[in-house]
Amino acid sequence: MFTEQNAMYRQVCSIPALLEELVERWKEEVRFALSVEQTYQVKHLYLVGSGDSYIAAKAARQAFARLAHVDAQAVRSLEAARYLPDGWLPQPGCHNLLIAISNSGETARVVEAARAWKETGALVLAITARPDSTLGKLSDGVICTAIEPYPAAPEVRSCIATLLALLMLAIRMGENKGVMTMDEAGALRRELRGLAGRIRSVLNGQAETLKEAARLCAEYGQVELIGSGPALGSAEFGVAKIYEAVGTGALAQESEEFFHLNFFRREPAKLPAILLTTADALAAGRQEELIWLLGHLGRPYFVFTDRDDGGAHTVACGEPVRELFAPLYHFALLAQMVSYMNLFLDEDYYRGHAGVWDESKFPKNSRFVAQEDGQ
Amino acid sequence: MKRIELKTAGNGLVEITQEVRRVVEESGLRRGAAVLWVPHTTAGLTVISRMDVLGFADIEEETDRLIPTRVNFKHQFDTPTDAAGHIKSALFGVGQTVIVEDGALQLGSSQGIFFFEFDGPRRREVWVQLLPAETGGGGA
Repeated sequence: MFTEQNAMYRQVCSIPALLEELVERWKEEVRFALSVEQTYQVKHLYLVGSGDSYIAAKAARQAFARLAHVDAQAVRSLEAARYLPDGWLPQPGCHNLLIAISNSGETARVVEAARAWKETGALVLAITARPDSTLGKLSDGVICTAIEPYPAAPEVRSCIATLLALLMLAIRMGENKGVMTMDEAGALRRELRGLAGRIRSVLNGQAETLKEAARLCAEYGQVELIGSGPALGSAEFGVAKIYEAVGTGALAQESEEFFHLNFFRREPAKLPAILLTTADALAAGRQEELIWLLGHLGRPYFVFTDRDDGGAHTVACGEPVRELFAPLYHFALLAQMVSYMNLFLDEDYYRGHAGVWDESKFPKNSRFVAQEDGQ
Repeated sequence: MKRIELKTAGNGLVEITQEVRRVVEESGLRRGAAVLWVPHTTAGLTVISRMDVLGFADIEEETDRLIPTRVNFKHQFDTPTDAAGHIKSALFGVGQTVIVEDGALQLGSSQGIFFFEFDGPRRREVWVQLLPAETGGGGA
């Protein structure tokens, strides 16, 4: 059966066990990523990454705002490294926390951002699988997200691990600041662990609907993934995995913006849409109107959500999933769908890193801005 | 052993004198002692005047003044309130023993037994073990 050979699918199947393992492992480790004093010192928090790391940042941003009551932004690495420092950063710098996300710890622009912000007096916390990397060594603290490696495929497990680490850090910061009691924080951690069961259930129970969605996206060669808040991060994850796994067209769009922009696309019947949401989403009301609009336009569509309304277009686990934690759930559904697309299109991951996609032939002359001064 | 269950609304004093009295009365103990124990490390047990609720506020505020919640405790595993709570619990103590005579708790006229929450709101317990006196103590 293809699933046994499909490396991406094997990663997806491991997600529930991975979630259970990491919540247990990190519920103590994450406590010491920031001291209590550092937690209280932070007034502005910037989540920085490239690619999957930026996507995790975007998916987790709302959790920091809601659970830790801190001004939080997700920022792309080049913007954080060059454009933000060129503008104006809140002063004094010691009240700024840069959470620098890079699995390898060597992502050039993330390291550049970390160095630039340290010079302004900001705290830097690294989220990386390699604490001994360049990023790990220059940071004030590290959360190590190293997990058991799996055969090479568009990354799903490390995305889940990174996002989970961020969510647990948000809970911990909120707990330390008294935004929630220790009992409430413990309940949220148990809720994260409980997502494993929901994911297990939906991946098994809704496989046929996910295959149908995959077949549609593969057939038309394009799809729009729509979400709001944390689920916009989910949408961008889906786009990333489609590009990496099969290379067909994909676009992430915010729910409200769909009404203003994507609504005008020609040939709507040839452009599938997938709405990523939960029943408790703050955008739920507007998304009900969006679903009506998709039907009105004749767009083939699916809704990846938690509560099952019995609709033919719905993929749901049937139990509530908190909006703040929903990207973990959405990531699993999207990754499974994309693994099916890979089967239908029989495509090489990353185009086999061959031809124009052979990165070994790319010029390597981009430099850290700080090094231009001879540093 | 009997357990008194509490659900504290936040930090502060909670009177449990009546609950302990009920345990003694239901047991039928005539002479002996009621040993009270709080199985928590961020709570305490104390006997204070129950006559003026403003006195409770004094005790709560003085306790926080003597042991303020701060961000740089060495104990960082949980929260600042938890770290301060451990210190307060150590100073107040978690046990009290009250004499039982003629089937009743022997408390001074203004005395009351109080549970002191230092890291609420939480679900808490107070354990009560009744010890009959050596002679003529009655059932426990």
